[in-house]
Amino acid sequence: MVKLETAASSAQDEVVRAEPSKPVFILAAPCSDAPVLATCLSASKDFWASSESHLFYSFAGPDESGQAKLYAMFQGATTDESFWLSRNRVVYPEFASFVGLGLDQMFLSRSNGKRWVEASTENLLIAPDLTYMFPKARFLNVLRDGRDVVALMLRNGQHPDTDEGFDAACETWNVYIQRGLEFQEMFPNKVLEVRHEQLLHNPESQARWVMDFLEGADATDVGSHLASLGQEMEERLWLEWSTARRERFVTLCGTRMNEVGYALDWY
Amino acid sequence: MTTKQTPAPTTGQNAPVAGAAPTAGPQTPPAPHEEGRSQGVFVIGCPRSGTSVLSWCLAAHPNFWTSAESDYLLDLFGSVDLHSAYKRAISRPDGGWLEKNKVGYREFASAMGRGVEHLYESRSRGKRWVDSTPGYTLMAETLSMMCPQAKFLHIVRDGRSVVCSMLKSGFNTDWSDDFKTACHTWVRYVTLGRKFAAAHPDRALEVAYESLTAEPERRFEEVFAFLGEQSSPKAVELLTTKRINSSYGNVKADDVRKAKDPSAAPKRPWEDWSAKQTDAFNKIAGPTMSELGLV
Repeated sequence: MVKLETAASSAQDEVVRAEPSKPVFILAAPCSDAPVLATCLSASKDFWASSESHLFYSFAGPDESGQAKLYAMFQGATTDESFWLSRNRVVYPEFASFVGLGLDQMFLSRSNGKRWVEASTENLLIAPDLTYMFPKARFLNVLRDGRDVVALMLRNGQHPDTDEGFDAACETWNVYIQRGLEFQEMFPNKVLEVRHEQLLHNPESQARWVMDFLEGADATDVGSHLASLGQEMEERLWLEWSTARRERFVTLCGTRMNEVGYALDWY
Repeated sequence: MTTKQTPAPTTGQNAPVAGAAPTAGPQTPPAPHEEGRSQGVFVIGCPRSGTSVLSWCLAAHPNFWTSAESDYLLDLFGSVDLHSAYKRAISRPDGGWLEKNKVGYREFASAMGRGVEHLYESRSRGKRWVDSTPGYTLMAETLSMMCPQAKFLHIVRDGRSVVCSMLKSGFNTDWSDDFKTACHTWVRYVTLGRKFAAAHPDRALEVAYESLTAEPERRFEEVFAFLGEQSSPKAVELLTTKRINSSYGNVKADDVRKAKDPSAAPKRPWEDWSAKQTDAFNKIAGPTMSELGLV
């Protein structure tokens, strides 16, 4: 992940810019209930959530060579001073913001002016580009016990319930947690770390905390919604894991679990 | 690039559409997302057909602005990529956001185009922007949906002149150093451009390069009238006194960007072709030339 400095072109100072809105992206590993949290937020009059869009990754995800498409395309279009983007002194953050502007307005056309909330899983992998595409966006980085995430990925079929599938699911959790933490470090003012477990056990206080960060209004409805969903969100399928599987999890994910403060107790 | 039209959506123009990339379709009242949009101009046409000169002439008018060819839209939003992104999002088992919110491809393309328009407008400072990227001929249909109130000028030039100019341009392209490729490229662009213009007569005007240079005052009257503006003598003046981006007189590739004296270019450069080249051109481009009334 690379954070680019936002450089304002002098040409922009004299023109009226279209104003971007303040969407909310819920970032999380798969099976971390990001869509559920989005639904809870939309209980507030300030926010609106719909299905996951799965749109942004098409533009900002990696190309065949592994480079972020949008940035790679921008680089290709600015290799010569005579090219339009170079000649008009368009820097990448500005370019990305224009790409996002149209999508922003499309979402707003459905949210009736409310702040729209997006929870597509793969957004976490392109989060830095999302900050450029949507410069006023805020992000909730939801962390969840890796054992829950891995167990649910296997149950839901995102990875086959085999040894190889188990390893792949562990790797997925590791990658998402790592990328989320890196993103938090790069953009501390835009990202709030949220614990899935806290959302379940302290829904009202977590709702207030989240809404404060998002500068939302009354958190009561969000808290109520979270509280009502608590039972549905808590599953400890890993209790059924064999000893071998538990040991394998510790091998693959133990370091990361400790790093993010999850104890490896098995009861 | 145009494709066969998909079956009519069941709930109006905003219904989700799977399958091949849809065309903008017949003229219909503008949807809400298409109203109040930017009134820019795309000058399309085969490379070496006068797209740059036409755009700079337009920009001599006080209401218009142009810069270099933008090019990037082809990489970013070229028909395949934009429609692929839409298809991926709408083909999910759960339908996803686009399906749930009944966003059809046309609206989706229009949304992507909003940002593009704002980028142009951020530089054009209130003037109507003009973009003259020849490659956009290949995605004119997509652009018409992305920028629903933009107009298109399809400039068409005698294929013989175009092929000669391509081969002398010094550009690093497949059409700049192979005669037959140059001929096929001209045919392809002209065919696509004409098809687009025929499908969108309210938004696209075909401009004959030779007619523009022979009768600039009259042709610019027509062009500006189509764009809803008064004509400008400065556009005529620029065309008649400067040869922009001409390939003639090139010593090196970058020379193509220097304005040259219009009287310096040879009038019928194809007369230097070999018999073999003439035969090849007639075989490849003859039918298109006939359609255009150029032979």
